[in-house]
Amino acid sequence: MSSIWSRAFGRLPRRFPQAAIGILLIVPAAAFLLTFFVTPLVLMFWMSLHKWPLLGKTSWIGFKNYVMMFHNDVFVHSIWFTGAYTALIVPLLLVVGLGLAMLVRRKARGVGVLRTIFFAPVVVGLAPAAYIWIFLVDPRVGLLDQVLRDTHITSSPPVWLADPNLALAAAIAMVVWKTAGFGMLLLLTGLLSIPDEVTEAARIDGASPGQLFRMVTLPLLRRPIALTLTFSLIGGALAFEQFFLLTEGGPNNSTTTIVHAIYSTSFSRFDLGLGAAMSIFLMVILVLVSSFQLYVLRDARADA
Amino acid sequence: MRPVQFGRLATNVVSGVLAIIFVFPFYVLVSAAFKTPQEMDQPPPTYFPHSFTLENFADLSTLGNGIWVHIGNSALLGLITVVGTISVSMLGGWGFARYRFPGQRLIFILMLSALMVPYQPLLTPLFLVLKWLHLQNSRFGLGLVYITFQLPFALFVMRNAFLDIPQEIEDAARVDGASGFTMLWAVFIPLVRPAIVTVGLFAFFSAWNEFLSPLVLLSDQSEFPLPVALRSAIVSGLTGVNWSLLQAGVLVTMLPCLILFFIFQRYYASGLVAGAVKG
Repeated sequence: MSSIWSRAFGRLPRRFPQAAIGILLIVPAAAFLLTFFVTPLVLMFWMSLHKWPLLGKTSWIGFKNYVMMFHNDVFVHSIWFTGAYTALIVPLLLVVGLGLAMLVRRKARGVGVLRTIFFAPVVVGLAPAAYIWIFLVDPRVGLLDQVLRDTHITSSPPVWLADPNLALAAAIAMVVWKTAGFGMLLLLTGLLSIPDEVTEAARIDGASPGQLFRMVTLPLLRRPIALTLTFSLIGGALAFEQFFLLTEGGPNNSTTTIVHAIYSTSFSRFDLGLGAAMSIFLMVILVLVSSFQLYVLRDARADA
Repeated sequence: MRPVQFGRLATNVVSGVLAIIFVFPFYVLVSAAFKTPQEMDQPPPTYFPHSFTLENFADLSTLGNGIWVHIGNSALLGLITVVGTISVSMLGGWGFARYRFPGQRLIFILMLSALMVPYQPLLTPLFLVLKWLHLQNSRFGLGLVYITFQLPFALFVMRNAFLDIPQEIEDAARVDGASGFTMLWAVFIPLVRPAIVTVGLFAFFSAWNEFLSPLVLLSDQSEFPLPVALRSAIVSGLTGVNWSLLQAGVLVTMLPCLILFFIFQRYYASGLVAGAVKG
């Protein structure tokens, strides 16, 4: 194999200057990113300034799409709903992730199994996870309501997905189950990198377990905490499958997220210009979150 | 009881309860997949299956265009994405790490900055780009999109792996007559194998599990990968959701991911952490 390679390409270094080889090697990556990242990025801005139906003529309408989207009730509501969902899921994922990380930090028998159990849902796709939970919370054949009945928590358990608030709760439970293990992994890596001498010194100085956690552990975990927060912020802003599959955005569009609203606008109502304007709104939010991440992490690195 | 003992007991109880909660959805899925449809559709639901059957897996041939079509689609998308991402990012990582050219740092940072924009907002224009390239409704076109969105992370991992190779090894190999692609094939690839596994794993997982982009970019049911095809068990039935079929299908979809995860646990975890800490 290698002789074929070298016969075909082996003499390249002698015929080309080193810089040219370097550039040649990154051309494929650049081609992919230019075609399927930069082009759609630029096109998205261009489309957002047009009335752009799927078929037929496009026409320039300036910034009208940006005005129209804020008069679109479904989109405006989706912003609030996505915001509310994110505001709930972000602290929850951090607290659960941190709790799990503290539990599996010990060196004891069975801890490895626990780590695997808590992390396993992370490798399941969001859509398959949603399909499991649709079944789990089904009022007729699902086991969740049966558990609630049998433990006498309530004799008439709710129809989870028919009520916007309960559907939100079900989606949140599903996402916590599916992604808390990721936060656990990040925070566990942070916890394990805290030298034993540091905690030992604090204990000798008379710190109580609570003080130890607040004044030693938490500050040293700033970086993984910031990472967990930004990951869940981005995941929250991009929420789609958890509601599209559980509730299809209903009842009455009450659980429609921003990505879902864009999807319907572009691909059900075929108003691609308006969909592009909405996408730019979403993208600006995401870039702000990412910049916040870079800012916090730079700060944390300077401290360390 | 001494406080220390009590603390340990409490920790164990909490761990046990949490473990049961986390395993419960998996248990529900597996037990449902092997229950008969009659038992499934008969409320109240049973905690322990009274019946055992493989019938649901045989029935998967009626899901969408038949389960094998969709397994094939998912596998094809996974293969395109894994092979494409590994090759393109390996060449790129090699170029960025072992050669010097003008604008190198800037280009690398620009490519990494693509990480700040996830693919979801770009789907509307991507739909048009694929149409212009005559790749609309094509698994191949979708695979190219997947590769693109794996690239920033993959380039980052590959470049680091190539940077970690000591210059002496390259020099020694050059003295022995290796150059160009011989160098890559015989010297570098064995040394960056962990990076290749990490990049390949992530490419596979994202391609296999992706839901929204095939939903938007593919229109023909016969091209749907598993996660999208499973939806037909929910929406197409006039008799309501076919729970047995859905859970058996989910199990089939999930299994390769769980198996790969157990085999490559170490690479997967370290890749996640590396990807997260790239900042």
